[in-house]
This record gives sequence, structure tokens and C-alpha cells, in this order.
Amino acid sequence: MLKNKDILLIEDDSIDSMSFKRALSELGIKNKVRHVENGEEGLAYLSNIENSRPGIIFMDINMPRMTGPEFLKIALEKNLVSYIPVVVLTTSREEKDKTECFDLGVSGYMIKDIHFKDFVITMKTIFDYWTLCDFPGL
Amino acid sequence: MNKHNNIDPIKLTQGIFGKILITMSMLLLLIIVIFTSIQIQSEKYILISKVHESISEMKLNLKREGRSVSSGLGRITENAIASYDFFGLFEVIRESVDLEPNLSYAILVNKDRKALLHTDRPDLEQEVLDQNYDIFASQQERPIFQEYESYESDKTKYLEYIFPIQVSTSTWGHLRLGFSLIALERKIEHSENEIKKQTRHIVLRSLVLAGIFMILGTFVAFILSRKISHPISVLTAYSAELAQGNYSFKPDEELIGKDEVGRLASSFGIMAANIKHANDKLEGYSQNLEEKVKERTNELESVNQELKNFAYIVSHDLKAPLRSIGSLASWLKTDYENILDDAGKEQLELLVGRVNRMHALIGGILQYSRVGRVDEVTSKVDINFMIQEVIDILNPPENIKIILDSDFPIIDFEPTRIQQIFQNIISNAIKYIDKPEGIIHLGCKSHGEFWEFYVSDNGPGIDEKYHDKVFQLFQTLQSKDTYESTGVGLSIIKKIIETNNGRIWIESSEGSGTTFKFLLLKEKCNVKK
Repeated sequence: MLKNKDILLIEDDSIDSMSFKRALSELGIKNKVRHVENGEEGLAYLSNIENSRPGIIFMDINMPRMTGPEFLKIALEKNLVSYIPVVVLTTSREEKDKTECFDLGVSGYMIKDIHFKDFVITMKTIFDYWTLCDFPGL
Repeated sequence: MNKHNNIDPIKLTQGIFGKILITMSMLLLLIIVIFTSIQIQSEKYILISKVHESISEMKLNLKREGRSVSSGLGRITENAIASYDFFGLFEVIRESVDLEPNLSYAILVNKDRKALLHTDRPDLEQEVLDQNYDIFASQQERPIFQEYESYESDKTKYLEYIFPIQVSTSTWGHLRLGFSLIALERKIEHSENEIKKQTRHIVLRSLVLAGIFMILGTFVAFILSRKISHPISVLTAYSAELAQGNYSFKPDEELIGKDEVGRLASSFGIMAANIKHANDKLEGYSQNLEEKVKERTNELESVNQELKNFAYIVSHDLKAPLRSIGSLASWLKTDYENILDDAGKEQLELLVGRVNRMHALIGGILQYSRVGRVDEVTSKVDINFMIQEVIDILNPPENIKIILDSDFPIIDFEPTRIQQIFQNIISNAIKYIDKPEGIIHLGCKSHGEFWEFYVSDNGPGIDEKYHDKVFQLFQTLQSKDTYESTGVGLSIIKKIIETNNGRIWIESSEGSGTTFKFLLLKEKCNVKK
């Protein structure tokens, strides 16, 4: 259950992150959104023990400095994302990207919709699911 | 060295060495035989003529001796007869016969051939001798030598001196003195034996000589043949090496010599060098070519990669800002609903509509670029089954009937691609039908190595001048706002069909419905597009 856990968003596009936050506020989700702009920053955020562990991670694939899959690979090696669902938010429909992400064990792969309304519906589904989902107690 | 065709070792009788050796030996044998026999013959001839010479000399001696004895006795006889001293005469004759070693007998006959004296056969004395020879002897008027064989069984040969006795100018009778030829014959026999012995000796000597010559000659022939044939053998081995591509092989020049064979060998050497040079050049070219091909392939690969990246960039980098524009427009509309007037709201609506179309266009470009660039797995596709699936997906409205005219085959194809083809054409047909009752016919027939499929509708039809145009990228016949069309679908299926060596075309005229026909290979060829 996500409860009051933070949400980590790894996204370089400011409008996309804006629409992410807007969708959450429209859905009335109060969890804090920790926004970083690329994989490196994501790693730094997770490595810093002062930061609280997020309940769920959303990440883009194509980002400057370090892509989503690159981030995930290192995070897995460093055991930084255990029991944290990682959902990919991307525009890419490339088969290669999908297989790469699922090979790394992502919990979901969502294509960013052109229509904001549809995006809101997608986010609602995701949050409904992961709010229901029970996690091992930590 | 990989030996492609082994050259059999040459048999002795087939090789030049063997041939030369055999020929030379035969010639040598022939020459030796001829010379030996000639030598034997000539030596024999010399021997025989020598013997004959000595025989005739001996005969001559005998005759000379006989003549002197006879003429002495003859004259004594003439004188004795003239004086009728027969008794004394007989004594003298008998004495002479006894004394003269060669004088065997003496016969004295009168002209009536009555033998008055016969030292050999006293029993014939006082008898008339009437043998042919006796008659012949009595007819002689001059002294002669006559050879004759005795009538006795021993057939002894005698040389008889017939001497007519002249008494007062008339022939009284004949004195016949017989000289035995036994000694002479013995000598002849001895000589003949000697000749035989000598001949044997000569033959033996000649044979030994011939043998020695034969051995020596064969040895010389062997050396000569070897000298002639060895360079050729070396040359043969050399040419065999060359034939097998061993161009660096060098024969021993000393073994080959400097004659015609040597020239031939050096010509071979030059040829080999030229071939090697040409080969090296060729190898160089091919290596160069390989490098060039590699280079070009790398270039192509990098270009291909760039193209892929380009499509990816289009997918991500163009779509992202577009989506942002769309989001911002919709937020503007909701957040500032109270501030915007109707015109402002409509413009924002239009903006969102164009954003949607651009989004669809980018999607179309991506799809189009994927065909032929991204390899998809081929499998056996049952078209009957696949068409049912397409119809289910398209879910045509109730006023449109889809009729299958024939059974469909199973073909080798990328499943999503073949589905794309049918789905696109059928959905176009459904989309554009303008009649209250739409009918779409699907069918297939064999056409050589192809299957020919058709999809025909009773829609508005397409003017012939647009038949090519509809397949071009982003070309639509209707206003883009009338139908949700990007003008990409037909371009994509044309590309799919053509990259699989097929063909697609339209049979239609305005107002009479449209028939799309396309050919797909029955056996998918393995040659990559």
C-alpha cells in the first residue's frame, strides 16, 4: 500500500512532469512527488539515506546523462529499488525498449497519451492498483 | 599444397628414359649381330680361300712332280719299246712306283687297250681294259693329267698322268701313272677340320666380343638415355608442380642443363612468374575489393543505424513537444474557461485537432519506416482464419456485407504484416462506401507462382488518374478533415507487398466501385529484399 509514501518521478520534460503532478492533483492524490530530471539524479536521490524511500517510481526512458533503463540496471545492482514498483512512462513504442524494460523487471510500461484526459485515466488505474496492492512490511 | 589431380608415376616402358633405352639397346643389338655375322662370314671366307689356295698349290706341286716323273718314265718307256726291252722297262716302272711316294700305280697298255703292266692289279695284266675311263685314256694323243675316282669300292681319288707312247711317229700305246690323292685329301680334310675349329673359335670370340660390346653399349645407352630423359623428367615434375599451383617451385638448373629442355624450363619459369604475378595481383584486387565491400557495408550499417535513430528521434523528440502543446492547449481551455470567449475556445479546439493529426502523421511515418527496416518473423498464416479475425476487429456496420468468394490459402508471411494489408484495404472499403447497402467481395486465385487476392467494393470508385497517387505517402483523395486519414496506410501496404516481391494495383473507375488486387509469392523466397 502506498499510503503516505513519496512518489519518485524521473522525468526530464517539465511539461510532462507538470501534467503528471496535475493528473495527481485532479485525482486527489496527496502523496509527495519527488521529481528528479534524469537517471543520475534518481540514483543520487535513492542513495541518500536522508531521503525517505519512495513507494513507487515513475521513469521516462529517454533522458539526458542517464536513461531510464541504465538507471534501473544500476539501482537493481545496488539494491536500491527492492520492493518498489517501477513504472515506465514513455512515448516509445519500440519493441526493443519494451523488452529491455521488462527484462529489467519493470512493473508497468505506459505509453504517454496525446490526450491529457486519457493520461489522467491511466494514472488513476495505476494508483488504484498499487494502492490496493499489499507490500512486504518494511 | 592441396593436390587436385595426382599425376600417376610413369611406367618404365612408357617414359622417355625407357623408350630411349630400349630403342638404343635394340639398335645396338642389331648392329652387333650384323657386324658379328659379317665378321664371321668374312673370316670364314678368308680361311676357306686360303685352304683352296694351298690345295691348288699342292695339286700343282703334285702335277709338276708327276710330270717330271712321267716324262722321265715315258721317255724310258718309248726307248724300251723301241728296243723291245719290256722286261727292263717293267723293272724300271715297278721300281719307280716303289720309290716315288706319291706314285701309286703304273699301267702300260698298248693301243688295243691290253694291259701289259698293271702294278696295282697284276691280275688284269694281259687283259683288255674296257672301262669307260680306259677307253677315254686310250684316245689321248697328248700327255694329260686326269683326275678320276677308282672303280673300286673305296672310291679312292687319283690323279692320273696319261702319257701316249710314240713309237716311230705312231701311237703305240699309253703309259698311265696314278698319283694317289689320299694325302692331299687328308690334308684337305685336315684343313677343313682346321677351318671348322677356327670358325668355332672365331664365333666364340665374336660372341664374347659382342657380349662385351652389348654390355658396354647398354651401359652407354643407359647413361645417354638418362642424360636425355632426366632433364625431361625434372621438367615434367616441374610442370606438374606448376599445374598444381606451386609457382614458387624451382627445379635444379644443373639437372636440366642449357639445351632446348633448359630453354623450355626457363620459359616455364617465366610463365610461372607471370602467373604468380597475375595471381598476386588478382588476390590483391580481391582483397582490396573485400576491404571496399567491408567499408561500404560498415557505411551502410552506420547509415541504417542513423536511419533507425532518426525514426526513434521522430518518435520521441517530435512527439514529446507535440504532446506538451496538446496538454497545454487543453489546460488553457479548462483553466481559463471563464476568461476565453467562444472564438478563443474554438481556436484552442482547432489547435488540439491539428495536434492530433500531426500525432497521427508521425505515427504513420514511423510505421512506414518500420516496413523493410525491422525484420519480423515469418510463419505459416492461414488467410481464412486471419480474414475472420480482421472482420471481427473492424466490426463493420450492419449495412455492409462482406462476402468471401473463395477459399484462401495458407502462406508464408509475417503475420502482422499480412493482417495489416487486409485490414487496411477492407477498412478503407468500409470507410468509403457511400451506398445504403455496402457489399465487399474477397477472393483469391492461383496465378503462376503467385496467389492473386482481390478486395472489391461497391463504393464511389477511384478515377484512373488517381490509381497511382493513392499509394503515395500522405496522399489522400478526400479532405483530411472529412475522413480521419493520414494518407499513410496504402503506402505502407504497397511497401510491404513490394518488399516481398509482390505487386498491388487498383481496377476501378469513378462511380463503379473499387477493386484492389495484389499478388503474393506462394513460396516466399529467401532472398532478402
